[in-house]
Amino acid sequence: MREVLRIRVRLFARPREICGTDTLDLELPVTATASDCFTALASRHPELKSLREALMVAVNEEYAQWNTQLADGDVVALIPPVSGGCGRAGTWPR
Amino acid sequence: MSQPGRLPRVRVTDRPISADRLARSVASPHAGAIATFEGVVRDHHGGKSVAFLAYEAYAPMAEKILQQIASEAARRWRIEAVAVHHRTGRLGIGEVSVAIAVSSAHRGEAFEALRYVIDTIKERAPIWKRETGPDGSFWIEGPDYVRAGD
Repeated sequence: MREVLRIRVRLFARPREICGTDTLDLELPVTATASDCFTALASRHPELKSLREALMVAVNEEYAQWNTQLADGDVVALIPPVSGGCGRAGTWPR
Repeated sequence: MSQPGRLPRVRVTDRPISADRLARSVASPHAGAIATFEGVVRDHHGGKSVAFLAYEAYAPMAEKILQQIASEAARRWRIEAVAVHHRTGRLGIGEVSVAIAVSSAHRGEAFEALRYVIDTIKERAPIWKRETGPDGSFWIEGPDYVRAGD
């Protein structure tokens, strides 16, 4: 059993611009949740904090809850409000 | 996922896409109707002029979500096949950003499933749109514009 979780974070759109990269790796405590992952990232990039309310999170390419317990090797993605397609303004997934 | 010589049903790609090609790919002897939709880059949005758009996707997750949406449509309506392609990267005015084709025995199911697929993509697919015009670049976050970096 490792003493830390190695987590890969994927970033898109505004969070990607704020962090200056689309992928980064974090080491988190073994008890870490997706929310803890965000907190660790926001401590390095404080501009992220104001986005928290609007962000959703995905773990291993599936929408997840912020309280999801992470496992070693998980890929966490921050998902800003989506706007796929064309024209009509998007709405926010539930 | 893709087979040689056969158009994949679901794809996120930086190459041009076309509903015509998708329409041919969903044709079937059982289908009396093929409904298609193309989302096309428009030269204005919210009263502002638009020079070009850039679409950014979390491609592997977006393809899974498009597949889920296609499966939901197939469970909900009696359709023969559905295909969905979404473009990424920089797109000029008139270029196709999303293409969908649905085939079914009768037209009603094809129209309804098509509407469901495009509406749900916009709610759920992890794909983001950055609009560039005379005032600079903005991320389109639902109803909100947020100034983008370079």
